[in-house]
Amino acid sequence: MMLKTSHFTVIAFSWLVSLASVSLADAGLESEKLVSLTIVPAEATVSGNGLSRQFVLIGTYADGFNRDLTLRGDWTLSDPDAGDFLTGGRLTARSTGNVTLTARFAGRTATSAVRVKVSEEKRPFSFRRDIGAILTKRGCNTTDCHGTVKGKGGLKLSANALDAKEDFGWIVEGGTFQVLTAESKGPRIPRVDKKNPEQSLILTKPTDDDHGGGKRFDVGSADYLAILQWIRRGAPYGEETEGSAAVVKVDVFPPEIVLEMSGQHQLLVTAHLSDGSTEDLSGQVMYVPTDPLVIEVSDTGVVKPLKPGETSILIRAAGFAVSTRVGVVQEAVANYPEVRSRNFIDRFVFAKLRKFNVVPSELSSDAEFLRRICLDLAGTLPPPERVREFLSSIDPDKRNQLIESLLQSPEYVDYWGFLFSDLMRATFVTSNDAAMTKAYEDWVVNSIAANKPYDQMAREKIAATGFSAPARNLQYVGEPLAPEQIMAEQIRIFWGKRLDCAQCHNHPFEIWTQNQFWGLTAYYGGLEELRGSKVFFDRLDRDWGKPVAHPRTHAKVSPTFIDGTPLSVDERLSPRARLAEQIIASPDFAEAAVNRVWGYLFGRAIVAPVDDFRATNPPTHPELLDALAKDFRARGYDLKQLIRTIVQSRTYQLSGEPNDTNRDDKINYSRALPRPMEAAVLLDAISSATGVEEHFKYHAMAGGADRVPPPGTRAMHMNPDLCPSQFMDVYGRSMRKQAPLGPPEPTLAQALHMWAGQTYTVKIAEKGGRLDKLLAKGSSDAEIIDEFYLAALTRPPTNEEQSQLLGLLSGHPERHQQTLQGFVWALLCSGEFATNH
Amino acid sequence: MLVLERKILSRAGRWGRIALLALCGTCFTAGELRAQPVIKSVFPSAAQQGKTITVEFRGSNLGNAYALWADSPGLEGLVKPAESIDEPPAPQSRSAEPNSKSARPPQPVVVQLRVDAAARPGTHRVRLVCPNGLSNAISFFVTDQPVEMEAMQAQHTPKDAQAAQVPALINGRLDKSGQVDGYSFMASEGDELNFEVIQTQELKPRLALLGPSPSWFSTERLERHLFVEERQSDLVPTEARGTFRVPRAGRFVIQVASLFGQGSVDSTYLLAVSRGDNAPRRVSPPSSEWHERSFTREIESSWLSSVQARAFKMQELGALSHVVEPTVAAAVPDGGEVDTRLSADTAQASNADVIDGKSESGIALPAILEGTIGKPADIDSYRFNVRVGDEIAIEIETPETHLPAFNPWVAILDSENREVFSNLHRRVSLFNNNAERQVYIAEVVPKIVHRFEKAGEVTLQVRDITSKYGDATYRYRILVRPQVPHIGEISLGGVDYLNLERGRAGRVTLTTSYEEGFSGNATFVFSGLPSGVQAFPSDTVVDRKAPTQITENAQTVLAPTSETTLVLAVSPDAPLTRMPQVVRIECRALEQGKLGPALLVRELPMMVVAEGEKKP
Repeated sequence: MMLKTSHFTVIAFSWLVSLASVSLADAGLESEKLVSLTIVPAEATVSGNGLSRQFVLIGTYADGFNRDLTLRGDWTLSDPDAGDFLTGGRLTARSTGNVTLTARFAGRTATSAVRVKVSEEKRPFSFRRDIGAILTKRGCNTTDCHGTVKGKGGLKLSANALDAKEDFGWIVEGGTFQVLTAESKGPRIPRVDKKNPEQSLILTKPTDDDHGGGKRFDVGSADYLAILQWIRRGAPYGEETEGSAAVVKVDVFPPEIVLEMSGQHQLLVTAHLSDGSTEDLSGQVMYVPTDPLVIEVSDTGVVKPLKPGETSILIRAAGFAVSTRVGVVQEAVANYPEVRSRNFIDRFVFAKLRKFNVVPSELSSDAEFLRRICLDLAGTLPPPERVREFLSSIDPDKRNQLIESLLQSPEYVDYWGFLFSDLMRATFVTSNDAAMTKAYEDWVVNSIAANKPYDQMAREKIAATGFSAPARNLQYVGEPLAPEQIMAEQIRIFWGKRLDCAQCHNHPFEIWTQNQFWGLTAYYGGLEELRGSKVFFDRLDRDWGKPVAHPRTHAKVSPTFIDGTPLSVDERLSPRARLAEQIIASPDFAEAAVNRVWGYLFGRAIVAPVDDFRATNPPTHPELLDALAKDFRARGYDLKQLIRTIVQSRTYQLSGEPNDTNRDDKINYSRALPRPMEAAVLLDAISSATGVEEHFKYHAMAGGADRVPPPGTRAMHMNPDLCPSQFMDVYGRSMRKQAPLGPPEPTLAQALHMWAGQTYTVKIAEKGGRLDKLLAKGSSDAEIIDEFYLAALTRPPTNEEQSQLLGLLSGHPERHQQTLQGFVWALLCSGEFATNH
Repeated sequence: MLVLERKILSRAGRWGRIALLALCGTCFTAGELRAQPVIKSVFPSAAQQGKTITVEFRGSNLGNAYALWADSPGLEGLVKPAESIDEPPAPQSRSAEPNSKSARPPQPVVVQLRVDAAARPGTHRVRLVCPNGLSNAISFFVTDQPVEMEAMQAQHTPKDAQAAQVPALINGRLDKSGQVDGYSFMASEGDELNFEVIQTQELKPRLALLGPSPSWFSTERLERHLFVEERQSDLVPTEARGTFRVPRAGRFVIQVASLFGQGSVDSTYLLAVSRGDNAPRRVSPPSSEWHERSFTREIESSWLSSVQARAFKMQELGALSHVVEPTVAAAVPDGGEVDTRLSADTAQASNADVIDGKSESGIALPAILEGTIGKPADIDSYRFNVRVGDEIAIEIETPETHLPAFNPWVAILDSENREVFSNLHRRVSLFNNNAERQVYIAEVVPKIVHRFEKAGEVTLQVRDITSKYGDATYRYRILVRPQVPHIGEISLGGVDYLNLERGRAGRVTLTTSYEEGFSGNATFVFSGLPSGVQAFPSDTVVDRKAPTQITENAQTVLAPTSETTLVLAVSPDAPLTRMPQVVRIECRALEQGKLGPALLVRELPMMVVAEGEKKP
């Protein structure tokens, strides 16, 4: 088996950089390399009674790094009586006034204007903010504890205190959560004991070593006392108190950290309140590193490196979840080369690589580029004569010209029509009618052929109605699909989000609630079909259809957008048309689209997997994602232009040949990574290289098992449901039962297929095939080797390969033809052939 | 002449039973005849007016066919004796290469077909007369344009495409599975081209237009151009047709293929390529059948009198008014109230009579409402007054865009905007995949009736059932009128000819719609029966299976029907018919002991043939 299986696993966070060391220990060097010094936040208010705020001192260096100098800076307050400044950068208010916080380091100075407001008046109590924060910080409401679907030990808490009202009820009133009803199971036993507050379960359990979830805090700790005080005050909810400001957003600074092994970094978590003020939450949240082998994070938000690599930190605050990415590098690169950018993509990608001390690979060779671009834009290998023509051309613009030729080619329509047919699931099982399946597939392919703006495509699909082709996908085996299934799929395709989990309960990892899920589902509740003519329409305006009911409360749900905006009465005539506009208007729409296309072209999307956008799965390049999305939107959601922009970038055209700095890079696009071809593309490639067409047959469902498609039909033209193909099944073609998840994993069956499968063995020797024709016209061995290298690998053989192969062939004159067949077989089985690289 | 009355027939009792016993179980329906001659295809399937061509009929049991029978005038044919058939009618011989078209199948019948110079352009129906009877009908297209034939060699690659001149009408055949036929033509920049597969046999055709530019990968593959419809509409195409505006001059290829590789010697097509508005002319044949529950029947001023003619007696309905929705919103006078009350004798109301389809005051009935769902989500409204007990019928026609693209939803709303009734046919499924009681919408229907229990002003609303579609072609004509009890459509269950074997009996079931409260009986009259053939009444088969679905609003959307089964018995010594005899079936209403006027149901070609071999 020649497939390079190690290349198939593209999701990895390992990161290793080893270059010449640049020590910053020397103070003289510090002053030379330090470019600027900044205190974050530059302006702040520290208010309330005993409240404190975290500050961070950031030094920007000539090597492009930002380093946390909080512990190394010399901090002073213009009025030392205004507050107490602790070593870790935390300022606690003591007296009211406006002061300047100053930090000095290596001869540079930074300041922050701080307004200190001390008052005896306390912020109104809020269960969500005060108790919810403790439950979140202590991990009580994580999805492996009480935040799981049914809760643990009879107590159910919403993940991240997302539904504080409900949490309050379970704690104060007691009861056991049930998934399918809002009713409590069993007797209601409160978890607070107002008569004997210390005996409250909410205090005794987390302080007990025998607690199923382990001890979460100590008796007498700050969190213990906060809860105790709350119970003693009668365990109020408190949030609706007038004047109480609600948290509307939580963010984290910095959004991305590059750490040296010798460094550390303080995180700043800030809550933005509805009254415009901010609060420091850095010590009140839970930090969860995605890869705990790379970094560790303290309770106060100090990040320390453990080993080189890249990871993210999930920060869980009450009602919110945010994340930041962290890369740990060993040492800076000396003489980092200048890398030219071709467009904005390169600027973002190369800036990050620079920051991470990774040098991108060289520009790909013409042969490497030609193979990759042909496979990515047309899903096919170039014929040998085209390879020779391209490689011999000295036109400096030949790559751009080739890109244009391919974007206008019918093969582009074939391939991207195939990819989008997979995505939009052109499958027999939806309509249960082969002709209707074809009509739907035609709509997808024609949309690609017409380069229909992607927003229009989305509009037609989301609001599919009447006897339209996209409406052919609203069924399963001829019966209308359940509204929740349609909605979840549309959101997955057009927003890249997996809302499905929120169908039965609030989403475990995200801030998506069950109410949001069913509010969106209700847009589909009026979907009706004229059975006689298979015409779909909406009847929400007259309350027809299947009104959507909340599975727990059983109450009828009104169509409500994810942001809480209800569907107006005027819009009930065409609810899904309105939903389509709302989906398209969201920034998520363009981001999901560009991420998906990026994933097709690089093998790894900026948010990976492509359909898993969530705060806890951040993009590797958020600014790039944003810029691509804005460009896509500004250019009228032009898919072809998006593809053009990406493939014209230097990033796309980098070689797959690694250097010492990027050998282990799997996520930052510092070089091209090999990707397995899709099953259909591989089959077409084998047919193309051997010069023997595949003989497909239609399934009986398509009108008769003896029917065949026209000559020249490519594998990607054949709908998986309507064209049996053992080869494509073995190579993991998408059967379109769900939106595609990613490239298939290699299997043993594939290896066996290479050894014994007809696709590999018979085509090589078939009469009329490439080898047969070359032999028939008396081509020399060298010519045959050359031709097959061009046809299969899009490059001529190296001198070494050529001489070794000629030697092999001359060594077996009695089995010359078989040896040639063996050579072709070996080419087709090579990893270089079977991957796009 | 034999007159049979429905109830009498079903109680015919002894007389009928004796007749049936005498035939000793030899009764059959039209479809049960053994060795029925069946035509599957005719090729070529089109000819120019005034031409005589050789055509080849294929099918089963066509042996010794001796005459051609055309359902309409203008076509005559001479069947060549089987032994004289040497070569197929194609101008070029078939290639022996593996990818050439396949060999001729058995049983072709070659006919010298003469098309009269005055023959109606459009689709005709032709049959073969065989010793074992008349065949089914197959379509044959008559045109005023020259008809080209496809070349017989393989032509699936653009390079091999057969050269054609626009306008072109090409008769072709996809002889084998996976075959693609291509026709190349030169087009100039700005040309507006129309492509249409007018007629097919045993084929679901697909068209693809290829342009001059070759693929970078292969010069044998040309870029595909989308038709305007493919580019602009997301509707499932119901016909293989398309239009295209040529962006730059060059050689184009139009390819004809089939859905999922369908192809056989019977898979024929007639492809038309034309410029501008010069598509082949088609004139529909006059129909003797009565179509009432169809969106495509023409609701013109004469329609009302046609309905009345089917009633037992004429009734005074008042003058028909004609309300036309304005197509231009600017028709509204400046700030003016518009008097939309129509006088009874208004033949054609001015555009100002109805504003954007919404009448400001009541319209007089009966009335034809004519308008357009000109844009998505358009809703046109018309108001009129009703009294308690008023019984009205609403008939809907879609003259241009039809189902399933245009699904006209017509609803009557009361003064509080509540729906009183509509043309949505709602069914309750009593058995489905989930074994749950489920209401679903079966269809929109072209006719609804209602008796009002409340007086007042009501609003007739018309829209497309979706809120997405609508343009200038989404035209409707709606007749709102008092109900006229009458005999509606009469179906023969798809039977359009009969072959009767001597000594046996055939069976015909007539299903009659009783429209708008018609309370009489339908009686049937057969005239022109071949000698030795007699019509007998028979029991009507009652379906005793439990219903799986119930129509909720049956009174509104459906008409009650009755079934009348007739046995056509042929005496053992009946003379054989060499050529079909046209039997005329008429219906007369019977009410209060009186017969109404005769209504033509169908003219049916019928033959008496020799008895076939007895079944074991």
